[in-house]
Amino acid sequence: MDHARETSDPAILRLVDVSVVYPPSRCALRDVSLNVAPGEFVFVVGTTGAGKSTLLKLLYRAEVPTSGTVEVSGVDVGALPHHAVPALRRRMGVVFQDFALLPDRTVFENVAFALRVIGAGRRAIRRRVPAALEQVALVHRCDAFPHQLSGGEQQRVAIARALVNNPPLLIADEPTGNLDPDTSLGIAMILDEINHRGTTVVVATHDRHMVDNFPRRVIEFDRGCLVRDDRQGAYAVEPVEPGLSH
Amino acid sequence: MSLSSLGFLIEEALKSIRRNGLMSLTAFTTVTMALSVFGGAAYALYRVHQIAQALPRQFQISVFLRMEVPRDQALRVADSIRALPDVAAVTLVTREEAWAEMEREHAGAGAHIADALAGENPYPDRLDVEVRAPERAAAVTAALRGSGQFPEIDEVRDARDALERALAAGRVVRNAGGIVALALLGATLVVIQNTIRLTVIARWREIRIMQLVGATGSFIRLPLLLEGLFYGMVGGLLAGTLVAVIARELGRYAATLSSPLTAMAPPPLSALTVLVGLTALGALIGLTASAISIRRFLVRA
Repeated sequence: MDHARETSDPAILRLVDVSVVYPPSRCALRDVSLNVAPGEFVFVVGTTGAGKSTLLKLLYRAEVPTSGTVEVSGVDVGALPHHAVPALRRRMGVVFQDFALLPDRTVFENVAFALRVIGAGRRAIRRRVPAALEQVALVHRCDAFPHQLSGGEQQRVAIARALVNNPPLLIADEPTGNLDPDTSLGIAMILDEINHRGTTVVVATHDRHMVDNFPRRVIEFDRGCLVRDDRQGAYAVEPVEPGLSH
Repeated sequence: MSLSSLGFLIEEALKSIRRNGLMSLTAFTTVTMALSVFGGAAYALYRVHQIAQALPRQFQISVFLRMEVPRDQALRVADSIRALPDVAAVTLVTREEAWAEMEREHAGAGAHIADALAGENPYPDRLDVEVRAPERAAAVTAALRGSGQFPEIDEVRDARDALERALAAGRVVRNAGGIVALALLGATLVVIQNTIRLTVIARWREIRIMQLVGATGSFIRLPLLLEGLFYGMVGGLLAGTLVAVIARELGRYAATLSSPLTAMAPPPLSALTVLVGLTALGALIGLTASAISIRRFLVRA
């Protein structure tokens, strides 16, 4: 990538004094600085409007910072020209709460779609789609349409689509927001397995159950500010004294 | 771009045309109507212009002598006219030759006409006069008509009146047809634009996914451009077929008329030229409309 500024720093994600202000003056993120190392699993938590989704949008360049720098694998994402954005997005997978599947295509075609639109050949599609479906244990449903699947299965298809390009980074925005607690744990286990294979995973979530069952690094936002960064945290910090929250 | 990708893009464009259903049909119909009127008007104008261009080069004045003028006097008149400075050639067509000409032109009906005329030949001797320069034709006609130098002349006819009428018709075709065609071309642009806009709305989810998985801008735009191109080309092809068929039928009809204009008309444009021309114009309009729509409605994300 021409516009990449490769560094020797091992961080796959680096934010330095990042602020995002929506017009006229709503501050979505305020002076956020953080690093994420390759292979880490990070939960991003916080109330609605705390800035979780804005943070993720900065990573896949759906937003640009008002100030500060956002680097993904050493690339200054905010400074990328528009034509270089597709190359950035091919190096990450993104999963959404609403699954974002195409209703008129089968599971196989939905996953293959991510390969077809970047110009992959039929041979690569035949090889990589089953491998991605294998990772989410959905090979047997490859001919089903999304409406024939449960919510959990649909989200697994979305994860398979995000993984099919073998990206080093997986970003998930409320991946369990539409799912029941047991199904959410199933999704969390899949994300955990993906992380164990070496993919960096960043998950923005409200799902206390999931975060508490998978003790990983937790970053908490409150009204745009990074208020907590625990290496192996829970969804919320337990008060140490009566009447004192974190 | 690989063949597989191209196949995928064409497949996506066709899927979108099917999905848009009624709107696609409207787009095809509007393009066809607009290009038929435009193509028809342009073709008619071209044909009139073509005939007008050819006419002066073949400009010929027909001089009819009085019935009582004897043949030797007719030959002397021919010599006198030939001596005029602007005249290139004079041919005497005798009344017998004119009769034979009539019989050839009205094959089969000649005998009936002869019966009706009781064997009487109504044709006078005629002198066909060719002028050296087209612009001198009017002066030669005036000299033959009004100078009193040739009392043997009964009537002088040229194709000027027919030419004037054709040019007047051409102006009407150009003005009326041009305005209607331009309005329809504008409507075509709007309809195709709207159809592509509907496609963008119908495909917003796919487009969003394409953007998120790293499809390039051109890969996202190409199916939309292909869709517009398809509407334009198919509409243009249908319009070209319509114009070519109508032109051929009108040409056949005109050939049955014994007008000096049709007799002297150069061969018309081939059906293939009309087809290719209107298809190319349709393609251009389709691409332009798509490009405008993409620019206006495709959100960058």
